[in-house]
Amino acid sequence: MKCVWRAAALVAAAAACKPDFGPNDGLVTSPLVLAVKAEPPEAVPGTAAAYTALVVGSSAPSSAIVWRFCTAPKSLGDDNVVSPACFDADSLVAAGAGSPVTAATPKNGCSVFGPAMALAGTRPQDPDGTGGYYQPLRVDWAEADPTFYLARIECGLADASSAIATQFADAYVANANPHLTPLVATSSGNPVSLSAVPANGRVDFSIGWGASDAETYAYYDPSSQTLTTKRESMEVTWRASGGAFDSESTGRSETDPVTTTANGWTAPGTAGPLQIWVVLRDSRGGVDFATYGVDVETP
Amino acid sequence: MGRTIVGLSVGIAVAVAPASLRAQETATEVSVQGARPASRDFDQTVQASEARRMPGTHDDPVQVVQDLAGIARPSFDSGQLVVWGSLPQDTQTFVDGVPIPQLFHGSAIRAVVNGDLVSRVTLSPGDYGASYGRSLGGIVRVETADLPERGIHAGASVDTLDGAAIVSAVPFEGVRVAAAARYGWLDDELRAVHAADVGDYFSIPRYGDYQAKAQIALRQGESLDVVVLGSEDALTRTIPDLDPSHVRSQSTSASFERLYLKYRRELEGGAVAEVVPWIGRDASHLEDHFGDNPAVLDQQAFRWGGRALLKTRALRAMSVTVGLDVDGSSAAINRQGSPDIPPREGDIVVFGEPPGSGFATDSWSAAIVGVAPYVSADWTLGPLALTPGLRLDTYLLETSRQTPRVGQTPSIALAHLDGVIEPSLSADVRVTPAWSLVGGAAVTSEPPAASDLSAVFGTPWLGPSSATVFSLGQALRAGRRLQVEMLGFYKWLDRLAVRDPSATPKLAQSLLEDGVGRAYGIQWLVRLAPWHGLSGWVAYTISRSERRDAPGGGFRLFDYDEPHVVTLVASQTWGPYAFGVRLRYATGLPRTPVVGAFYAANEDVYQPIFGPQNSIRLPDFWQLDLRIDRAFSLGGTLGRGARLRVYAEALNATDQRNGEEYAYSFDYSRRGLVYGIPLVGVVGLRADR
Repeated sequence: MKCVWRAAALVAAAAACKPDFGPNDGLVTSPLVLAVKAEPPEAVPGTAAAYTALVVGSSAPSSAIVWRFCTAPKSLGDDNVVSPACFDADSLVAAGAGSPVTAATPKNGCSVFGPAMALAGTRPQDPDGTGGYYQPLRVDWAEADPTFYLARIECGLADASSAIATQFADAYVANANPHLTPLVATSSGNPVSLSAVPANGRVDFSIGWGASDAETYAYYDPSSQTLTTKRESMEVTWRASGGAFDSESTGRSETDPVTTTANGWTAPGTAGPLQIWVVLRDSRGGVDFATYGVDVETP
Repeated sequence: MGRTIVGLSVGIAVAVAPASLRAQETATEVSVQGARPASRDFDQTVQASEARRMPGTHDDPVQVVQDLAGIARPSFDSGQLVVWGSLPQDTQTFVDGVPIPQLFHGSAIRAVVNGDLVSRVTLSPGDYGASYGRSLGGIVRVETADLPERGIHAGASVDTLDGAAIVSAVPFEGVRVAAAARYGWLDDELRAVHAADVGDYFSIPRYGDYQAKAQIALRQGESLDVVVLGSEDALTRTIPDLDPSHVRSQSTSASFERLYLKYRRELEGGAVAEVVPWIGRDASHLEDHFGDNPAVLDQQAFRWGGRALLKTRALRAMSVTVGLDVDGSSAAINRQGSPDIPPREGDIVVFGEPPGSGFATDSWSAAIVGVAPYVSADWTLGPLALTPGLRLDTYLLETSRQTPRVGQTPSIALAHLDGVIEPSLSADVRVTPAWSLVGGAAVTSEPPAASDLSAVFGTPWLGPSSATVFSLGQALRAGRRLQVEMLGFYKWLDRLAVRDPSATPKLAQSLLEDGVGRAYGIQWLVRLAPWHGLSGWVAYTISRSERRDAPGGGFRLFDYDEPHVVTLVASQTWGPYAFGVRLRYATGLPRTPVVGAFYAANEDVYQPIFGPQNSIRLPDFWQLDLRIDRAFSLGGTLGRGARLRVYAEALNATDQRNGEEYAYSFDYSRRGLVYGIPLVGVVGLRADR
């Protein structure tokens, strides 16, 4: 419990007490499907894609991974990314096992999770802030909590004139996965070898992506009902089996042209091998990830 | 599409208040007028002069309304008025009969009307009579004070929350004027001491308000008041993060202005005519950013309306009131973001969880005009007093668009007329000089919110909701000062706007009128009129409020259900000193448990899996507040009649740790509590002459 007391004026005091659940330092303590990479990351429903999972925190084999598409849309009042029905077997369709796995998204994705519902007199699903619609894909592995990956599906526009819809179809380029550049590790400005990191040592990591990876894309602005362009934002997730990151994630907003991001990491106090996982995500669902081995040595 | 709801009322036999009680109810020193005037059962009225001396009010008489019977306590003392199991927005607030959109500045820090201009505050929790309507909850009436008849008077108050000043004068014979203003600086204080994190939980806006009033004596028995009210709140806060997608920022503002006239004429034979025309503007803006996901709700509304009544004696034992109550608004609304923000009652949410990623947008206008003619009577038949009433609430509902915008397709507007016939009856019977039975039944209605009439986020053809309320109770007097009141109530709510639970709602029908609700309970009020300087009351309400969101479904607990609410308020004056104590207890609010979690790989976040809705509760709430004030005469310094009062309040004097909300670890494996305010001191000065 962390209580913050502050004096406000001479005799008034105010405070807020919020539960302290520990730092968000990126330490992996339980099995987790940390990321799913689809190739291609965006396609029309019914198109086959190869899905690869990055699993961490357990020695269970990736062959134990089970993939299932969820066919139930969520209701308007639901904060979560998927419907509670996605936990019922009745709403799940098998997509394969192991990693990678190749599977085709259900062909009716745009009428269930996209704008085509309006044709049947029902309210279309809302796109996300990038104009995208998504087919939920459930991933179960070992003792990890259920994981949902949202596969981006191309559905066109819901509420645009036919002229704009045509322009959009011509201008829009489906998303492509970004690519991580090699991880750079330094300490006090000097290069650090990941095979010899001192215990309790401080390491500054920097990682980047290709200059064209933060893609610009055609975007239909529903407020102004005009076609415009947006640029992807980039987020990097940092996880490790030991030590502590300054932040679990860093990134660049869609207006920030810089193609690198940095994070600090403090090695654990005990020597031994550990792993660091870095996941790069663009705002349209594109993913890349990398795993690094680190040897911590007694100073 | 016109519809009419006919409500049936059931009369409950009952009596006339004892003469001594009636006399006392009109006396200025009465603390809580719980046992009704002949026509209104269990209205609770508090005189401003006494209310401002109660602990927890910070010298603000309107604050006391939160301590009255029948009101639940919302989390973080947000100032929302949850009356008899109804939503906060279902309780209307009025100043001299003119509706205002909010009673308090953010988190109930201060009322929007200067306490020096307030004469008294009345809470009507249920059956509030034919002259008021458009509210499924209760109503709160603030009445402004008469201005001094001679001389120039000024007053100023300063405390750790804000500063306020008022001045009044008599520039001409028969003309009295006053002006008041307030400015809040608590947000600056917190920023100055780097305590902005307090604002993560308590809305501490920059706020201000102003009022001006002129009272003009026309002919004998004829007067005209001109009043201007204004209020503004603004709040901006940002939670930074190294990851731009995790940065959260919020910007909110709310303001309103009102200009109204109050013309009153006493006619021959004891009749009274009163006309109150008013105009105003309401504005609110909410803008949240959760990383790349914005959520915007902007509303600008022109408000207008008026009240007119003629009260005359029809028979020796009966007076009749005929009136008209008009309330119009023309709103322009712009909304963007996920449909789940802001959340509605019944939505299952977790404190701090970002909204869904869906992005929708809509701009629309909505006009809502309510015209309600009414008639009521006060009829005394020996020990029995009856107040039958009949009100016809008609609503003209207009929206600019029936369906979502598609390209440049012209919008097709929608207009429909709804009507609700609202009979009411309240009665009291004097069984003995010290024992009265009271009861009542009424039908009320409420138009849909303009923000619910969107073709994208709501349903353009929503009609009014309605409530049927029954109450039955008794009042016992012990001596001249002590009164014990008990009132049972049952309320049935119908045609409530709720989300379509389907994952595939029909186009432009995201909200349905399928919601129903029920609330029932008993409230007790033991009150002591000033006696050797001691006054106060104990209020206890036991109740249950439930909602059903779809036909055929089961009832669930209302999000604000609080089975037990106890408030003890007492004040003792001793020479120039006054001591006050307030003790509050309330059952914790219902919450939905998190029974598991899943990982959303695209967002790199865990999301909750919920158990049965509203099946657990927050911990019970306890709080003790203390107050002391000291009055000084400044006659020799500032002239005759000048006074200075210094007060100090200790809020949560025992530093009780009250859990106000559940918070969860990032993976929902652990649950903790967000605690409310610890011991807080408020010191203030008030000088007037």
